[in-house]
Amino acid sequence: MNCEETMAAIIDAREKGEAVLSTEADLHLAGCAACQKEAAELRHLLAEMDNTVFKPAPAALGKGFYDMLSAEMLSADNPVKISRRYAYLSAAACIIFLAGIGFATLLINRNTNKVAAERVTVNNGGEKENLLLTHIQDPSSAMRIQAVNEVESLSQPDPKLVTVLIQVLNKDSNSNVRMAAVYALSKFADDTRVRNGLIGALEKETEPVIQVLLINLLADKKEERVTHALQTIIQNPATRRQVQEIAGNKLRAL
Amino acid sequence: MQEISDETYMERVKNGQLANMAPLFERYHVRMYNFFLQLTHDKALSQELSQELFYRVLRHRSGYRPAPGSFKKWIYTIARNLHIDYRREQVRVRSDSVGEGHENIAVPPERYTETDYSRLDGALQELDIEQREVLVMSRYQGLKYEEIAVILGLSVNAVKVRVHRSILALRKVYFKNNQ
Repeated sequence: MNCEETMAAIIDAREKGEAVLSTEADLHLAGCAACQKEAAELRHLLAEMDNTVFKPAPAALGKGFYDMLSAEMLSADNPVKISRRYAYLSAAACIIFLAGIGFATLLINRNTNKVAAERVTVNNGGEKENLLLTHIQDPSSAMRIQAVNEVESLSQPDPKLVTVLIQVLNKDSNSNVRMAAVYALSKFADDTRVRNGLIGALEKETEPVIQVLLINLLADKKEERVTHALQTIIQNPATRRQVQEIAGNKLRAL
Repeated sequence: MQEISDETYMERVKNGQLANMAPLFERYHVRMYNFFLQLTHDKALSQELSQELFYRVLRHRSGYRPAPGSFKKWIYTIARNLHIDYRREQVRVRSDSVGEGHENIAVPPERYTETDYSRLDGALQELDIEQREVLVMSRYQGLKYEEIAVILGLSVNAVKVRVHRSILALRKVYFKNNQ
């Protein structure tokens, strides 16, 4: 083995996580003073490279991305196509950004695992209901979203859960939790209480993405009682232009 | 809970479910920001390129071809092209500023804005761009040779050779600078 092959063997060993070199490389090193120096430098360099950690991304990057995504979703007029489960995941991602990317990522993983672990032990609707009711009060937005996500597996709208979800939709301070609640409730949108809750939420909601989500959902259901809310949205100068256009289109189609 | 793959998210984005971009952004934005930062060593520029990267992913979603493990290679390919575009633009601007006949002028060194600028960073910036990008992808970003081969359009063996040569070149620069 020559000098070049010995250096390659050192790099290979590092990449494979092997602590010892091949016999041939060791033999060459033992008899080559130049290679011994180079090998020491190479090992030092490789160790330093391996110890390099990612620098945190600036918060402005996240804000810029979510602004861009919101604008794209609004212009595409397609939020209603998003499945509830994936809306949760994207909403959770928003929270990660808002709460501080690095820390919140760890938090979200921990919470997800915690709720998922608890879900394994839940066998019936009553326990699931209790799980949701417990976690929906959690100070962590990620936990609240995950709790709302649990409703997906219910086949029938439980009255107590519906009441809680409507409260979440109307009162939760985090828009991503509210968005998750919209998707959870959309599964039961033919239920009278749910429908009334969705209409009431549209009248109060100011977050453009959720406004569009509710507009599309209720318009798809041919819900004529939403007319007043749509007119309010159209006439409100504070409403984003794209939302007003969508509301106008849906109003004309009703 | 089974983790949803990048490919599943991206396929849904391609199919119009744009909110699925959010989890992809959360998975990739730190590493992509660092990819640009390690190539340019400019925080503001890296932020700008990262922003543009996710914009391109979203805008060019219809061009995504789903396959196992395809998303990572796809986004790195876009990121690399973005960096190449930036460098070409730098060359063009510089060429315009000095008049005709200077198209082959070397790309000027990027701005170093890091206060914690390490000697290793400095040595890395002294390598040529082909060596730097292959080291960034393999040693810092943790891409496999097979993945880098697809991104660069090279054989796996060619990538391995380039990585090895780049490491040896970096060693020379690093220890020369430290003497």
